[in-house]
Amino acid sequence: MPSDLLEISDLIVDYDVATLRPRPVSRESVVARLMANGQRSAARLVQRFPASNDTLDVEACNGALLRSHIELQRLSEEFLQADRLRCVLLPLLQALRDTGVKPPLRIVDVGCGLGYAVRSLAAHGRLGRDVELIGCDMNVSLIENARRLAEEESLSCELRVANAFQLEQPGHVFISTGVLHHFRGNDLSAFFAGQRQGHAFVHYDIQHSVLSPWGSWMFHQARMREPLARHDGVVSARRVHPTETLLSAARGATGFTCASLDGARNLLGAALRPMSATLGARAELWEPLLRHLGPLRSRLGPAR
Amino acid sequence: MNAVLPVLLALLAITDASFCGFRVAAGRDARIFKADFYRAAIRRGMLRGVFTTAAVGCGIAGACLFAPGLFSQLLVCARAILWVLLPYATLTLVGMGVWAAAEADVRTLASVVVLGPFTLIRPWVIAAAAVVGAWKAPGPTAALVTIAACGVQMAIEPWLNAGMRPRIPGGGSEGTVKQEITRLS
Repeated sequence: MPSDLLEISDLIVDYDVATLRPRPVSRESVVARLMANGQRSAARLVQRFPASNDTLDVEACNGALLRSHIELQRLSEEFLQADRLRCVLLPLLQALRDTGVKPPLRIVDVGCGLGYAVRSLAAHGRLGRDVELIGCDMNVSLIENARRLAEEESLSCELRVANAFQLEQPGHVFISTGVLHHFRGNDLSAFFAGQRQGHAFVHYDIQHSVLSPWGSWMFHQARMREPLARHDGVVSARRVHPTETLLSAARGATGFTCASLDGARNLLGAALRPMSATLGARAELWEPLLRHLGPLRSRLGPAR
Repeated sequence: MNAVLPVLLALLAITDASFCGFRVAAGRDARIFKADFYRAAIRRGMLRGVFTTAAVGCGIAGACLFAPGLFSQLLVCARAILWVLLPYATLTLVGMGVWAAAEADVRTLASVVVLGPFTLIRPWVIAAAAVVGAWKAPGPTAALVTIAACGVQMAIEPWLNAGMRPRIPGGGSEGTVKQEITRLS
């Protein structure tokens, strides 16, 4: 089995980084890549995607991604992901205010997909009037739908087709959910380097544990219907970075003080908290942050 | 006791159908506020549960009219089925209760330990109940009725699933996104 499994959602859509326009993707090349990586079932799945002249149908791919994200939101809701995020953001924002950062305080969700986190925070977050919530993703279709959802419920958040690290008004706090494992090696460092402009970050991803792939398989079988979501969900859990890798990449690329939050120390911990966070903040922000964290402080790993 | 067992099974069947109603709706609507959507889905499941339970009940009542002694045989099967279903149902309801009332970590634990795995094993639990009920049946007709009733219960979720599609949000901002891309390019 290859060491680095591939996720279908990473392969079936491609964008021009400068213009964010979708680029044609060859179905055969995706299938060949998956086969070469030993992922036969994934290759069969892609083989069933509609294509004309070997170019994958963009609408069909976006449709599968959209359905997968809607199903993924259901898991986030079940595991109270927005609540967990809110519990970290409240003290973080307070620390930013204490250190005199000028409002509005911008929280930017990197790779927000359907924008569940920002929409949920806008709906229930009570983060303060001085806070702006911005969700960024490169996928036009997902952002279109995220915007419609936000408009439907009159939620005050912005959703943009954009590179989260190149906004006209840079973010103060960068957040993400289930994004970190998509970046490997230098890309992971580059991901964190993009956040040097900010003051802090909170990135949640699946807990790195022997239980995670099994748990992920179980929940994706029980809760998901879309084959792409079922496949990628399990592969995601197998691709998750160990805490050490994340902390050293984050620390090295940003120079921030970093620690893991909710990192499982045993199997019960992994069952209680299937997601863990990599938390980082500028050095001057760390002490005020610890002060405001309250009971959450005991769930913080050693700072680096 | 003769009336309690069928009533208990009917209640379990309707409760299970209501949960099925919720499950087929979950993951199909990405709005934040969707309690009404879920309530409607649970009602839909419950109504179908009431319908199928009534249909099965009527079928059994009709069969009992033509086969004297079948009812007492079915009570034996019902008792055997409940040995399988009751622990499952009790644990599921406890899991639901914990999920609804406790704080985040305990709610997650309820999901991880009970709600997720129990969703996955539900068809197997019903199948096991059918096998145990049929095994304990004093006669072949009672065994067949037991298997058929369990089969109907298993068919509820696919029936509820049929025709369900994700709720794709209505139009509104496509133009804005296209303008944004034009500007970027």
